Amino acid sequence: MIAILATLVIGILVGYLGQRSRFCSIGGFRDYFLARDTYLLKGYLGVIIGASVGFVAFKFAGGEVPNYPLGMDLPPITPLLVMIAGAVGLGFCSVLAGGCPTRQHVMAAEGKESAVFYLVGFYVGIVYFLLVTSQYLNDIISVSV
Amino acid sequence: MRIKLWFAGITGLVIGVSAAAAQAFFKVQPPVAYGYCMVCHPGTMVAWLMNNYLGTNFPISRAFVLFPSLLAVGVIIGAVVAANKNKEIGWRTSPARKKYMAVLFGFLIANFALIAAGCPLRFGLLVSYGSVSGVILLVSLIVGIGLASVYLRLRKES
Repeated sequence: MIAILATLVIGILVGYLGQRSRFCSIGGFRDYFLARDTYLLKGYLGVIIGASVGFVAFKFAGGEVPNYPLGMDLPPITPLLVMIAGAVGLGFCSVLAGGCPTRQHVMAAEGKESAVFYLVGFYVGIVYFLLVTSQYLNDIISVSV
Repeated sequence: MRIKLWFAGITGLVIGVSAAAAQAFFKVQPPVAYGYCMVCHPGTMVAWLMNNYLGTNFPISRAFVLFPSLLAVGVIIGAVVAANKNKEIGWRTSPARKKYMAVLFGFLIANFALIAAGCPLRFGLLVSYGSVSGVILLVSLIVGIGLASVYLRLRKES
């Protein structure tokens, strides 16, 4: 139960700050590539810095930070290549869509119609992944082993 | 005010620290570096709903077996409160083509992200956790963003 409440509180905090700051992880790199604008990129770097300091500090404070640092946690080559392809596709499509999933949720909350339609496709896509895509992935991974 | 120049940076710091705290003290794990992911958590929420109301048997993180993650719900609530407070809330329509493309992109992005096992922010959390695969995924993400940026620039010039 505590995990669920934590995700709700973090979500409310991120949603509030994200709306005020126009935070977007994809936008950070996109704006830098297109216009050398680093405003949103600072946001993404802030995530990495904050989490890095957080994990170290919380580990020393007795929090659950198992197997830290993960180090060489590479999966077998075929799943790794599939994940790389997914990440490239995620980056490419997110730029064309106009923002990362967090930003799209925030824009939908603001009342932007295209973001609401994005979320419709997003959640349908999740259902499709669970029902169809994940089965193909299991087949690919099992054949490669 | 100069602090506004860093507002996105402050937002990022809050996300990073709170995601780390969620794992360390509020049991948002396994897997590790799972305190914030705007694809995995909605995916877990959808899987939980389908398992409990449609009788499916999709795997769910141990943290969310009894109740689903409410991260996406929280983001929307927080954004509504912020937009309403600052009078930036209101329905804004889009051209039909843009709406249909948005549905398609949402669909593709959900699948690509779940194949890659995370959203851009989770890649950042994995990098913070010292994960080599996180670094590889982040670099791959940046490659995809770079390719799209080149495409946009070429389209603008043509």
